[in-house]
Amino acid sequence: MSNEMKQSIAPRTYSPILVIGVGNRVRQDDAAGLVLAEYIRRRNIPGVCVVEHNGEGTSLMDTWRGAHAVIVCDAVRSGDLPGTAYRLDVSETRVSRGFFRYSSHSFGVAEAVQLAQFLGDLPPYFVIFGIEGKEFGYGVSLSEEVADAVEEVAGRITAEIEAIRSRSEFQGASTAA
Amino acid sequence: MSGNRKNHRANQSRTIKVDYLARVEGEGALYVRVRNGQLQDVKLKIFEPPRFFEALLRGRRFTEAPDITARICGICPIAYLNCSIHAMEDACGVKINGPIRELRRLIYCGEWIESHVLHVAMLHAPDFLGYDDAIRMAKDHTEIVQAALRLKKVGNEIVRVVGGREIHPVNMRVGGFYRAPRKFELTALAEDLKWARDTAIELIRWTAGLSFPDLERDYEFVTLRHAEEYPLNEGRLVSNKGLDIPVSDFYSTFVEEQVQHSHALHSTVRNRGTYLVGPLARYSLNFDHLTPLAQETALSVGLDKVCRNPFQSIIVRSVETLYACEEALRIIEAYEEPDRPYVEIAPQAGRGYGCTEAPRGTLFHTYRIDEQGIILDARIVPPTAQNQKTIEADLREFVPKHLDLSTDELTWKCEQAVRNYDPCISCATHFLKLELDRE
Repeated sequence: MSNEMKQSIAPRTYSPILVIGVGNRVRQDDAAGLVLAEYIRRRNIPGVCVVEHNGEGTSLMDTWRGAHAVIVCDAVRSGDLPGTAYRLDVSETRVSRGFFRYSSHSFGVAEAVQLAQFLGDLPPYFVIFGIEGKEFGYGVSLSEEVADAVEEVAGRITAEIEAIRSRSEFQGASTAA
Repeated sequence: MSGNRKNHRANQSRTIKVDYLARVEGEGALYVRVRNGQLQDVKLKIFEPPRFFEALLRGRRFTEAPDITARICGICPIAYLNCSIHAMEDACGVKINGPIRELRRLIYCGEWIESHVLHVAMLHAPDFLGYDDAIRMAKDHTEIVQAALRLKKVGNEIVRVVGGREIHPVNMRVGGFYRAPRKFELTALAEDLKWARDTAIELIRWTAGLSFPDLERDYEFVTLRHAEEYPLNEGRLVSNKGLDIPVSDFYSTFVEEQVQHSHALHSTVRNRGTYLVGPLARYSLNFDHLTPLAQETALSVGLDKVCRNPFQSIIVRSVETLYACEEALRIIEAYEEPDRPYVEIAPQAGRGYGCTEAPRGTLFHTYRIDEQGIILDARIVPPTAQNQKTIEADLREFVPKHLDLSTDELTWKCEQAVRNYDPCISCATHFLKLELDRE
């Protein structure tokens, strides 16, 4: 049995901080969100759970249900310069559709956030980090611009996690997770 | 959706153009040209780039095909897993029965539930109710959206428990499963499935209350048919126009051809023409194998035993969701853990065929392998590719009857007609924008 399998069979427990990497590893820069999540996973920050997701919206809503704070990492296709980094706080900014590269039957990250907001089902702290992609064809490597941006964005995500953890309401929860 | 926003009378020329069809998987477009009140052309264009999976498989081991082909689609990986596994077992002369066969049906039920419910409630229902999307629909139909989300989750849970995880399951292999679920793991799903079964009945009643455009076509329905069960993984390929063949005769019966406007190959029945795969075909040719409750509920909402209105596919998907819930409950109740989760299979040189019923319709795989189990060639025919010509044919019949509609309304209806097929362009890849050209 693969490690991947062992992990997946483990019962679901939610950490107070959930990092979700969204993307497709065989569509070049679409893997940016997954690569970011992998960076965070390797840092083994207590109280932080990192998961990978293909971006199907309704399943995403199930994935983040019950988490206190959610950080979604995803590739962006907005027409801006490749490698451009984004941070969206969905309590402040409306997430526009078509912003993220991947959607499954057009019900992806943006739609899931909007529907969850409407249904009152969005975790209280919800931030999205994105990197503008360049190449979304078939392939397993990131473009140079995106690869160059990964480390800096991962650093910003780590700083955000530390800021969340330092908040009083997360103090007790993070040691328990 | 783009297009000419002005209203037009029927006798004018116009173009319906949907550059990127929303709420379908992958990238494609629809082009409809009307001149002087006459429909001149309908083209369903698939421009999602071809994935060359078939070439990528050559030289890989026969055991690798399931996990590689499963990546063709994020929505129906179980279909690809099951189909390639059956084809490889066929090539090696092995037939699997008992609990492993039942587990394959069970995980397929999970995929049917999640795929059908997503399409029915989140993607197709907004068309019927006049909403741009499920989010706007949720404001007026909160209850149905919430029920659908929970119902879909029940399907996800089946896939997670049997497949190891809900997204891109990792537990299926040639010969069986890496790990067979324990009886108690499956039993734990039963309560939610009973709720899902009752909710599916409500979903059937709700969808049957929608308004359906008047379109009945004389389709050649093609589906798997099995002697005893509603088709999922096994059966003969049959049609309502005399077809009754083993799946190994696929290529002697169906023809694939390249067309300039689509990356996806077009399929026809040799010397006959277009055909339809999917829920309408399965239901119409296998009504007798539905559970009594599914039959009774379908008839009670006014659905006939044969359904030729493609817009009513939304009801049929709901009926199949009910069937999948009941079938899953049956399997769970009868399940006995196998002694071993898989059968060790030694490769042998030869060709194998696999044909299963993906949520969108019949999926066909064939592989030739050598005595070491190396794949020499691979061919995959997904349901959406097979339905392309039929989607165009539906529109050729539908559009002339509705030329009195404004371009906006007609464009809306055309998109809805395409979504009757829940097209998975990523699977077809060899596929949607909409263009109504009436100048």
